[in-house]
Amino acid sequence: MPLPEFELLRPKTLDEALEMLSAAPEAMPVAGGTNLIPDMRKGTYTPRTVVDVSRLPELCCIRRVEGHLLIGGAVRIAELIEDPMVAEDAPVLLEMARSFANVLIRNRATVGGNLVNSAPCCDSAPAFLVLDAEVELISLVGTRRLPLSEFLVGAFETVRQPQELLTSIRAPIPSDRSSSAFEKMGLRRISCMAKVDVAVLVESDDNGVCEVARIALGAASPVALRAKEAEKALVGRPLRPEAIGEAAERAASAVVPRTGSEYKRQVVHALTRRLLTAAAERGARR
Amino acid sequence: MTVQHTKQQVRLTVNGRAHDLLVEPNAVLLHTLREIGYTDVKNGCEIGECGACAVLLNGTSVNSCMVLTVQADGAEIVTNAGLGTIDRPHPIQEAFADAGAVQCGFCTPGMVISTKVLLDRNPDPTEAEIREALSGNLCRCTGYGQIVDAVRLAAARLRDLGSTPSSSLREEGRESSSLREAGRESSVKGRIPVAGDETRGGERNG
Repeated sequence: MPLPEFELLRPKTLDEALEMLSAAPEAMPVAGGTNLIPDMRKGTYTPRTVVDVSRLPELCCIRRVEGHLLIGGAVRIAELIEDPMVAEDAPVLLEMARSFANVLIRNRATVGGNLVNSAPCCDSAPAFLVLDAEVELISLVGTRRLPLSEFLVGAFETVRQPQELLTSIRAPIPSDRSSSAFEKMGLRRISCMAKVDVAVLVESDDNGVCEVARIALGAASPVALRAKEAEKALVGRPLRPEAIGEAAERAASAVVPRTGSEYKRQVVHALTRRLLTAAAERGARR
Repeated sequence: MTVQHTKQQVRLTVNGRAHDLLVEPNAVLLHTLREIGYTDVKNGCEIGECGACAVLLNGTSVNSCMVLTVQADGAEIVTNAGLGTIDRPHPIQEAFADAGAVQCGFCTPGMVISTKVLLDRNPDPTEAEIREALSGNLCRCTGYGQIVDAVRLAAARLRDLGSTPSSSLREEGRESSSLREAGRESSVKGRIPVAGDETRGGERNG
């Protein structure tokens, strides 16, 4: 069956793309199309104008900028698995990417698309949340950067304005002493939507006392979130079973279950404890 | 509210052959490829769930139902049929036939594409690696056991062939038993037309 009709614009430069988005506020940027094409096919979302941003060079790079790892909005999930800078600076992204959908989808789906779509089960959000990442939104009016936690406001809802393009997401490169982990629980081991995602990043001093603790949950509430109370249970304490157990309890309390998904509290509890234990054992250097 | 939809000029190189086409903005690569005769690319779900339409797009495996044809402008595309012909099958295709990994054959072209990508990178994958690499390709009849066997067999044969993976096994004097089973072999190449494989002129491609 053909897709519904739409006008397809192919900007060659970022400026051209921004002009197109500004001139046609109902236009939808597309890169990998892994959300948009099924939506159009099902008739749940049928934009009249689509702007192909998949080849804009500014959106396709991974680079280091002033102590940050910067990932372009049109970078494909598969690239996170292959890029040596990602493996070195932010292995939590690599772990996330390995659990993302399947090879065929990873080769199309993009980082920016996954975030802008803001599905509750969006896998990349929890991984970027523990990296304290910021998204960059550009329009003809200007550029703004905001923490990912402020960008994501609800299920399929972000603060992106129609004329804005998510050009990149950047995260301060975590210290060499940090250690991170990511795990996804779904109905099968791979090629599934997340029932729960948990990401953790911790950093301890020479005496083993936790200095930095970040815990993020995906698919456990309408939008990915940081479990701040759980993080507080770790900072200033050694990463031992007592503190880890308390953090896992608090992370479970952060779950906002829908009817029938109360089990997610138990899953979050188990995964948080498992990941924190693994991260603590792994120690410095991830 | 009418949508202005200007046709756009694209060039696709498919299995080494260039095609200059004028396509609608809403055309997806899957449909375009089938319309110009590459019916070995199967139309399964059209929403990126089943992998039957997988092709190599500039060397990476993708679901062709998820690519707007215009986005593929200038791309090199390889379909299952581009890997081997009925007379000179690719060792992966031959292994699928020999291992009994083909029943209805509908998922096979996509399975072969995903296997190609896996074995190019990892000549000796574990079962877990095979299952992960094929996780985007659904089979609803054979079961995955024989498919995993086929990938293992293909891997072993390609390792034996060393640096000449494109040479036919038969040229080395090893005749594949199932090559005699012409039907199944054809299915591996996407050569047996199935419902929907009629090209626009009403003529079956194959």
